[in-house]
Amino acid sequence: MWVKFKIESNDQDIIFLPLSMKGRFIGPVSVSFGGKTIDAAVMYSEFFDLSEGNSYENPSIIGISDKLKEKLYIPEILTYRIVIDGSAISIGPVIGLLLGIHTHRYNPKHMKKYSDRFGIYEKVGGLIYAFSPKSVNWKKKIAYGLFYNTTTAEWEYGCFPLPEVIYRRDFHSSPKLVKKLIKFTSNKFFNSHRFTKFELYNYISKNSELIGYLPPTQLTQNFEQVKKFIDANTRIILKPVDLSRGRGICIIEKIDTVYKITDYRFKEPTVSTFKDAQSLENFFNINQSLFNKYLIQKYLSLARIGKSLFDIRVVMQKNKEKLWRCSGIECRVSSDDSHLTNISRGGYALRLDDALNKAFGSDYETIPDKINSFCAKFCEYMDLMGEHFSEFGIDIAVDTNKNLWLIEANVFPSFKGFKKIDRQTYLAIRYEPFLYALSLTKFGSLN
Amino acid sequence: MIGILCNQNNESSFTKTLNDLIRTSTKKFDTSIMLFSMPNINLITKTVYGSVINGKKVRAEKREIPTLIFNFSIQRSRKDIKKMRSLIEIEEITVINAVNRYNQLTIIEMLSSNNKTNNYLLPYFNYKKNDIYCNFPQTNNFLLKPDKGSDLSKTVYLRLDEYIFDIYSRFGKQRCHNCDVESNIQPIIKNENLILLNTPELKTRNTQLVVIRVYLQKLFNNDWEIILKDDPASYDLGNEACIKKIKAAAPQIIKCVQSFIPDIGFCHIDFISDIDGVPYFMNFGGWDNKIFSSKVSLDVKLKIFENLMEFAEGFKNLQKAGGEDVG
Repeated sequence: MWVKFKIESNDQDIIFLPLSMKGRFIGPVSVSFGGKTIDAAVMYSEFFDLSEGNSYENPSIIGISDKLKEKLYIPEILTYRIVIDGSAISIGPVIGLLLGIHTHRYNPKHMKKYSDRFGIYEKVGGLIYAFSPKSVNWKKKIAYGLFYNTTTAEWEYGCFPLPEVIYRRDFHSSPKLVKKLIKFTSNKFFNSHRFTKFELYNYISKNSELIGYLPPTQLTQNFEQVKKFIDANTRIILKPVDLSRGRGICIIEKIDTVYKITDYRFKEPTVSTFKDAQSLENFFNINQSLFNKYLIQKYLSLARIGKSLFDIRVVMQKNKEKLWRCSGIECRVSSDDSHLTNISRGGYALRLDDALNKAFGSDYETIPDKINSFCAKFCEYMDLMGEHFSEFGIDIAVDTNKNLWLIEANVFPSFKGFKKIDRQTYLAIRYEPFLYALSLTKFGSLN
Repeated sequence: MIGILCNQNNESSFTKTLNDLIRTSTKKFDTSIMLFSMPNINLITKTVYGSVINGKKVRAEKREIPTLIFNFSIQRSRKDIKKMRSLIEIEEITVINAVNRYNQLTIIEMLSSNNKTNNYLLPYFNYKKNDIYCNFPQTNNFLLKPDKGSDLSKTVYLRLDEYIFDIYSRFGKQRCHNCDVESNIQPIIKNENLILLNTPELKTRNTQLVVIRVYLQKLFNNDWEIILKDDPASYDLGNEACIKKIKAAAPQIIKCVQSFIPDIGFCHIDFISDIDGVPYFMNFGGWDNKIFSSKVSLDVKLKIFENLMEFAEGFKNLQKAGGEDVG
C-alpha cells in the first residue's frame, strides 16, 4: 500500500488510521521507519483512508503526530509504502547511498549526478538518501545526509534513520565503520568490497573453468622477473593494481633485442626505445614505482576494427528477483594509434553486433553466447567470495582466434558509452540498483 | 606526536608561536608537536619532514606522518587539494579541519535544514559568475559576498534610501542611484560566484558594515567553547542582547554544520546584525590564521593551544582504548 502522511499537531506518539480499521489493533503498535522503531498509540479518524491496491500516483493519506514524525525522522514530503503485520507497522523503504569521507564535498550540487536514477522512483518510493559513514550517530541510529526531494527535484540536507539497505558508492571509508553498517543492515549492504586487479586474478585463477580466460599475469617484484616475463611473452602490459580507466599503464614490446615502451602514465603518451636489456634496466631503475603495486600481463593479440583495438564491457547487475542478468554490452574502440579503449582516453563506443561484424565480418555468431555464458559463470563464482556484490563491469577482449579473455572486472563500473549509443539501456543500468535495493526490503515483495 | 599542517609561508612564524606557547603554558603535556607544510609530506613512504616543537630547541626531522593532524592551512592548488584528499584517505590518520574554506551556499543549505539555525538565515540567492550582469534588486537592501570562503574584504552591503543606495565595501562608503547599481558594484566584486542576501537595514559604523566574527574551538568532550569575539569595538553598540543572541547562535550553528562535516575542531562564524540588534548568519570558516597574529592576546592563544593539546591527549587515549572516530 502507498501512503502519504498528514502531520497532526500532538505531543504524543500517535499514528492516525482510518475509522474502518477500528478494532484491528489491541493496544499500542510499533511503527518502524528504517532503523527506527517507536511504540505508538493508534487513533482512528474518518478523514483518513488506507486502501489495498492503491498506487504511487494515488496514495492513501494517513496521519502521524508531529512528535512521532520527529522521533522517526520522516520527511513527510515523500510517498511511502506501508506494511502492516500484526501490531507492527513498517513504513519505507529507507535506502542509503553510502558516500565516502570527504564530507565537505557532499552538497546538493555534488549529488546532482545521482538525480537521473530517480526516474524509477515511482516504482520504489520511500526515502533514498546519501550519507557518509562519518556522519552516523550510532547511539541514535541516525545519519546526517542529503535526500532527494522528488517534489522539487532537489537534494536537501537532513537527518534520517539509518537505512535498511545500503548501496555503497565509495570505497575509501574506514573498514571498521563499513563492518558496522554491514552488521546493522544484516548484510543488506551491497558492493561491500572492491578488489584490486591482482586480488581478482588470484581469486579467479582458483576456478578451473574460469582460469582459462585469464592472460598470464604476475605482480611485479624486480627487474629480473619483469625481463623474464617480457622475454617469454614478447609484448606485455604493466598496470597499476588499484587504478582504472587506463590510468598508469605502460606497454613494452620486444622487437629483436630492442625494447619499445609506450608509456601512458602521463597526460600525453610517450614512446621510447631502448636498445638493449641494460638500458631497459636503467628505465626501471628510474621508474621504481613500476614495482610498487603493479601487474605485468601478457599483451594479447587482439582482434581489431580496422587499425583500432576494441574490448567489450558487459554490465552485469542483480535484478529485483535477486538474480544476475546482463544489463548492457558495449564495445569500446580505441582511437587508431592508441592501446587504450577507455572512453575517457579518446575511445568511442559501438554496439556489440556492430563491433563484431566490423572485426570478423558475419562469422561471429558464437561470440555473444560465449560472452553471456562466461559472465554468468563469473558472477556466480564471485558470489561465493562471501561479499555482497550486485553489479560488475566485466571487460572482455576477443583475440584473433575468437577466444575470450578477461581483462578486468570492476564493482564500480562506468558505463558512459551507453549514454551516447543507447540511452534507454543507460537509464535501465542506473535504475537497477534501486530496484534491487527495494527487493531486499520487506516492501520488495509488494511489487 | 601530533601534527600541525600549515602553509609554507607561515612555517617559521607558527613554529615560533607554538614554541613560545609550550614554554608559557603551566600545563604539562606528554605529546610533542610536529609542524610541517604540504610539500614536505610524502604519501608513498608515509613520512613528513618538519619541525619538532617541544618548548626547547626546534629540530628539523623526518618522521612518520602523525596520526592526528590539525590543519591550519588552506589548499588552493589542484595538486595540494588532491594531496589533502589522499592524506585524509589514509585510514590510520585523522585530519582535524581538513578544509578551512567552505562553500557558503553549502553551509546555508545545511543550516536551513535545521529548525533552530534556520532562524539565523536571511533570504538568499545564488548568482553564478555570469549572472552578475543581470539585475540586482533595486527596491531593497542587500548584501553580496563570494560563495567561497569568508574573506570580509569581498563583501558589499547596499542600503537603500529612497532611490539612492549607500554602498559599503572595502573601499568605504559610496553612493549611487538605484538604477546604476550594477555598474557601481561590478568594479568592487571580483569575477566569482556570489551569494546575495536580502537584508533588513544592517548595523554599520562609520563607513563600514559591522561584522562580528566569533571563534569557536571544540573540546574533547565534544562541547564547543567560544574563544574570541573579534572586533570588541563592535560590541560598543549598546546592544548587549545582540551579543547574547550571538553567543547562543554560534554553538547551534557549529553543531549543525558538524553533523554533516564531523572533523571540525576550530571554526569562525561571521554575524551581521540589524539595527534592532537581531543577529544573522553571514559566513562560516575553519581555522583563521589571524588567531596567531600579534593583535590577539597571549591569553587567547594560550587557551587555544591548551585546548588543542587536551583534545590531542584525549584523542590519543581514545585511540589506545580502541574508540570511535572523533565526531
